[in-house]
Amino acid sequence: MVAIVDAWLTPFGKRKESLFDLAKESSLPLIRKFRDAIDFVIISNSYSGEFNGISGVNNLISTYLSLEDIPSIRVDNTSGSGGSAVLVAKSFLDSGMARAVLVIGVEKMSTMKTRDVTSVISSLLPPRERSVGISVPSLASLMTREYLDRYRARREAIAEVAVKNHRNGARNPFAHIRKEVTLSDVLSSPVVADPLTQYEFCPISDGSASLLLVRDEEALSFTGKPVYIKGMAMGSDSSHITDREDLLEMRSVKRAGELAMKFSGVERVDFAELHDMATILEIVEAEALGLLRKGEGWKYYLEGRTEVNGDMPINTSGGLNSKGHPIGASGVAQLVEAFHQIRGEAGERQVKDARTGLSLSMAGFGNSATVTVVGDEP
Amino acid sequence: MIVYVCNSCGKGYFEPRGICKCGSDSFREEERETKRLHCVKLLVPPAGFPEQVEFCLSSAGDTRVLELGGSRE
Ligand SMILES: [Zn+2]
Repeated sequence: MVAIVDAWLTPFGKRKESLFDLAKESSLPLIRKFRDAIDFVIISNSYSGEFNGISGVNNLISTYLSLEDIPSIRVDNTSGSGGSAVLVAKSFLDSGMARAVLVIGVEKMSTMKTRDVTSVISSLLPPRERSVGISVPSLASLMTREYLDRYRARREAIAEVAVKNHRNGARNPFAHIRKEVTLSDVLSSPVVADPLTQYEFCPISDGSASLLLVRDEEALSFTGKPVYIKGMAMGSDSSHITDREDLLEMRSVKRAGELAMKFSGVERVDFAELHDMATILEIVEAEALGLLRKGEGWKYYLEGRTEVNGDMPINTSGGLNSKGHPIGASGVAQLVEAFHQIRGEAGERQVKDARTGLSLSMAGFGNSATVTVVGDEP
Repeated sequence: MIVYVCNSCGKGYFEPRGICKCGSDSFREEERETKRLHCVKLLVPPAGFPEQVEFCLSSAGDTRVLELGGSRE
């Protein structure tokens, strides 16, 4: 088994620092304490070529951090890069390939205008689908229409995801958007992809997050409060949206969730960090993971049950929706939040008696998904 | 609407594939009528597209397809 023994992140947002300085900012506290133990570096990053004109980013970053004598690789799986990078780190530790792996997730996206960023991210769609002009946000709108129709759900319940996540983000000093919004603010903000509005999508963010992972039997020599990875699994689905028989069946998420929960031996987690690139995704993912009842997830939001003090707290960090979504950093940052929650260090966002948690790092529109279940015991 | 149909198992695809799920790599093009399921107006489309794009998820027989929205005139 593997444990997370240290974690840090940068404030997300439009940052003036370079990709390299963002990576430094999140990893410096870990390097200062554990430089001599680190024997592998994994960089989670997807678009350094497109946004920053940089290739070979793992070696460039590790050299900038004077870790060039330590082997490094880059893991790219678009928005799901962070979860994939941690999965690779875990595999290295489980196999004995490494003893202490530093995972740095980093992305600098604010170098481009919104529609250019959308164009870069849409390049994960296949050519014929892309030729119609679709983008990942517009797929979320298709999903919303299907969800509202099939379950006779109320439109405002979907918007409540953004209200809740902005409330949590306002309490997170590392969040991109630290501002509470009302239901009326969300519904009246400019439409991006009908019916979803601006506040229902994640902003374009720069940022970085770092984790140090070691084998569980060594964890206590690094920290008195390790957070254990109790179960972890990945699921996959078609990258073609037209191949999905049912838009509301997130097969990759469901599969990864089932396996990760089975491996963990945990029946029910105390909180979850999900991939809310758009509001509707948080609900559909929570249903696919069995956190909320299928077809009824929307009702939980009207009843406040996914709030920090609810019976199923979701995205206490503010989620991608409010904390921000620097692509390669997001999945790593989700585990930083889980690390702080399990250790009781989440401040105003602390979930009472949080002993187990789950994070979902997702690529594309559910093209692949990595679920990690963590807890305070091995 | 052109759909790519596997010559071995008959499965249709909107997006061309090199190999069908059945293992065959032989496809034919088939023209099919479409029926709209859901349409979406995208007001912030990717660069290189008009200011506003409308597209629909439609069915073409048993195959799902994407097509431009708006009037069919
Ligand atoms: Zn076939």
